[in-house]
Amino acid sequence: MNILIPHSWLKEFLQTEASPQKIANCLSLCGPSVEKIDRQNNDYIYDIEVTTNRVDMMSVTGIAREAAAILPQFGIKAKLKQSIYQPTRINPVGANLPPFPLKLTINHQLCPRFTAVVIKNIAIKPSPKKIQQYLETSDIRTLNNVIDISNYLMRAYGQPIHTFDLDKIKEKMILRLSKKGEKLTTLDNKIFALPGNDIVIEDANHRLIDLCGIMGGLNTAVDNQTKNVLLFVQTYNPKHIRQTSMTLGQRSEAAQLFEKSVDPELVMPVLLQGIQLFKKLTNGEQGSQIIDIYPQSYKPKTITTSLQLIKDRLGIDISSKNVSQILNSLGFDNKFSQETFTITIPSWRAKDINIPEDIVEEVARIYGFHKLPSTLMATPIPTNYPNDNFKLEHQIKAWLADMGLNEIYTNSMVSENLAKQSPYPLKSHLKIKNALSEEWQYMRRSLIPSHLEAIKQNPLAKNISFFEITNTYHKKPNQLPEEKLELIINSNKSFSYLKGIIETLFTKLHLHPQFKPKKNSAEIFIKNKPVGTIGPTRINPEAQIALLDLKPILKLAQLYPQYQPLSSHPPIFEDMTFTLPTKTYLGPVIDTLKKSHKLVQKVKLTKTYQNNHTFNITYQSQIQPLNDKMIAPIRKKVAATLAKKFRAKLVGKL
Amino acid sequence: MQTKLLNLKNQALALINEAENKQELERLRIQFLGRKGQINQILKDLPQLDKQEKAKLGRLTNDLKVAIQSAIKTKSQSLKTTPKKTWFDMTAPGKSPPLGHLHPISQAIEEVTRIFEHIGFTRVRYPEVDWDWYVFESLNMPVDHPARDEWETIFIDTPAHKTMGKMVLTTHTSNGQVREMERVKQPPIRMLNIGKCYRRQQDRTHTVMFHQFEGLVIDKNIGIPHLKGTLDYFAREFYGPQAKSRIRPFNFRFTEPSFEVDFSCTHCSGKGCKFCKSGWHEVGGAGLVHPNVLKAGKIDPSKYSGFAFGWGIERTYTLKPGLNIDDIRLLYSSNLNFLNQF
Repeated sequence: MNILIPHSWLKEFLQTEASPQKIANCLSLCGPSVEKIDRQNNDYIYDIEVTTNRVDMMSVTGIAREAAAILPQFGIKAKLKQSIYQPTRINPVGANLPPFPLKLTINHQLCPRFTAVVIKNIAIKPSPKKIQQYLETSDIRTLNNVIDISNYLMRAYGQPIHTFDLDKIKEKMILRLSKKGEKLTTLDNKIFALPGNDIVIEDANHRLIDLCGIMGGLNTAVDNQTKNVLLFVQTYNPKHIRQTSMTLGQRSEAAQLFEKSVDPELVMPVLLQGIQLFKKLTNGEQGSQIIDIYPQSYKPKTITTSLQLIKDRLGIDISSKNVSQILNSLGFDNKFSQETFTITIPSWRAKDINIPEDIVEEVARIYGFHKLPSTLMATPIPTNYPNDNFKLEHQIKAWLADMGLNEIYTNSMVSENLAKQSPYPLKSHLKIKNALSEEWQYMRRSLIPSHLEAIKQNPLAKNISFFEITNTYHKKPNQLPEEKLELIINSNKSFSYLKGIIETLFTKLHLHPQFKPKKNSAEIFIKNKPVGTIGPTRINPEAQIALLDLKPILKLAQLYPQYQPLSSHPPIFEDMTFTLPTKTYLGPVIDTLKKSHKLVQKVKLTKTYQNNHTFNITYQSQIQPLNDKMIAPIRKKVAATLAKKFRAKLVGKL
Repeated sequence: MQTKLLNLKNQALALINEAENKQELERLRIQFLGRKGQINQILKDLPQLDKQEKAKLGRLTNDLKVAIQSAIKTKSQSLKTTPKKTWFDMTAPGKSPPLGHLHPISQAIEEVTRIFEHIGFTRVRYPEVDWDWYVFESLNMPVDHPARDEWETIFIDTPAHKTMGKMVLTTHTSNGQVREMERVKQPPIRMLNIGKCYRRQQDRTHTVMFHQFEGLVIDKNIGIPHLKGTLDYFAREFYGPQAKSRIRPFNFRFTEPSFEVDFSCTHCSGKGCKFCKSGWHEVGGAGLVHPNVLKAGKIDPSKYSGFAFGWGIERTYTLKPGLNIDDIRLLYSSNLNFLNQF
């Protein structure tokens, strides 16, 4: 959450000579991150990011308190001028004033602290220039003195305030949970049908007059005729506030503060400040006793932390004195005995500081992370590896890129249209509940549609060959889906080009795939296991696609070959041309040729003309040089085998 | 005769070695190997020998011939050939082999993997579609906690699991933290989890699908200096020897203390320029592992401590000096004009 704070306002609470730039740098290193400083008419505006655990810093005093702790660590003098928590001499209740005029029914689970007071005879007018400037530079709209007081207090101290027009409230206030469908119009003229379980206030006319912690009701809003107001300062159950605010999408600053647990100890001091401001800015007077319903008041909590833990985590030999001083600077009272700190947590940090590690963080950041040493671990290196072979996965990508293919990354989430183009029914896809766009509605089961889209993205390119290694997602009942690692290669070149790529890839992996025809495509087998398919697609017949199930392939792959002894005897090469019957698959023919005799080392298809196919055959022996006499019987056997098995006719004579 | 042949061999090799030009070599070739050459002269006496001797000398002569031929060939290659005076254009383009490209994300992932493997990290992969338990709850983020707002979570339309909660797309690689503790069981742990993540965000600096890498180290007495050491090491390896890292306070529910991690700007060496925020680039989050997270992974926080860090591959990569990619959506565009540049 970001807030804007003008330097001039900060200085009302912080005494320091440090320049805005210096303050920003120091805060960013040790506290909240100052993302930007803007110069505006002789002032500087800090844009500060406050983390969700530090609602105590969502205010000018909060930032001043941090700066007062941090700046001295950099050798810069800094002091908090006034703390809102210091007790004042003002009689808080106003015993001689009339009692609080409204009957109250408060659910304390919903409202841990409830305070309110009547301010009478106010005069609505613009606020003084200075307050208007503070608010405007903080990006808060100024309206009139009453509204400005609320906003001023909220930004100055981090406690949201509401002001009702007292005369518009009928007799009583019932603070309760809403029922589903109850209606309420907020100050900004929006009508809401409530989701239910929202904290609301009802008056004697059975009207809802406040959507607590989010925004007041229009029916009791302050207007130009308002004379008497109810100054209203509370804390609310953060869970309810968050739920209402998120459900209705009403992320007011008040809601964002309340949902993070505002300090209940802050309520009364802010109410008292409010009374003072009303007197000063509206000429109003306190018109009733203060009502303060606070059944479970804050009891300071303590945390014990050993000095050794702090030393271990910081990696330095910090002294107890140094730690103690850092804790003090943050308002953490502490005692040190038997090497252990007993630390009292101030109310404004009570929600955020719970365990010794929280103390470690406070000490480390104020000491300065930048001053801590930087060193690599000297502990044992783990050798408990998972099954994935990331190296080979990357190697496959590198080989494919080296063969001239381009790797792409396409989105795992696809549109309904793309999901429908896959071979799987739409219903069998994992559906996304809160899709950001129609483009991303389903988790894909097939990579093919996305890759056909990728080709379309490049209408001017002629020869496109893409590949990608990524998961597809397949539903399993009551379990996480199966995430299947696949390799897709996609090309608008020829089938034989793509097949050549696949064959080369398998050669690199020392695997011997078999391609078995299936309709227009081929199924790819390794050691009789189906591992993929290759062929044209149904949707776009121009595109050739190979799809491989990568995990079994990675498992079966050999990282090195089994070495075959080199023969010292020269090979003999010869070409044989066979006429094969039409529609004879060449794959099995070549396999048969290879297996026809042990001296046959290699078989290569070199030429095809109509039904005539020329094979270049390499014969080689490990034990002796070969000559034509020795080859002659083998040749006959080869021709006979092919004739028998494939009705192949040898062209020429033996 | 055997001695004669050996002498002849030595003589021939010496002469060939000293030859100064091709003409002389050719003369030597004729002198030794020619029809009326010295070898053949010696062989004139061959028919008078017995069968065994014949075979032996035959082999010897053959070896001699081969040796002389190969010496002449080697020498001839070493003698300068006079260049032919044909004109050729060495500035004309060469014949290129087909050129493919590894996607920049793969390149970055590989580089990150290598860097962390050098210091003993084990790369792992965990589900992209995971239970709320691993993505949030085991990381000390109870259901409906405001801290979850930071992650624009994408949910799967399926009934929630009784104990694991809703099914979501991982918003960060931190879902690997408790999973890795469950896998390894007993520290030491040095995990590098790289994976796809998803958030409901798409603009110039965010893509709805992106990649993160996550480091997790758990052992005895792990502290902030080890995290700083690891980040500095990564900065130097990935961005160059001048690069530095910096940690600033932040808040994550699953680490305590928590940090935001910055790397020094490589454009301006940390001085501040139009590319950076006063000399630094914010890249991601880190912290010491929260005791509750260790407990969720069944590791005793009184014995062990650890640190974790994680951030986007895309962000990390686009900060490379001089790369100048200002819209990371391009990475997922399948546009060849873009891809061909890598």
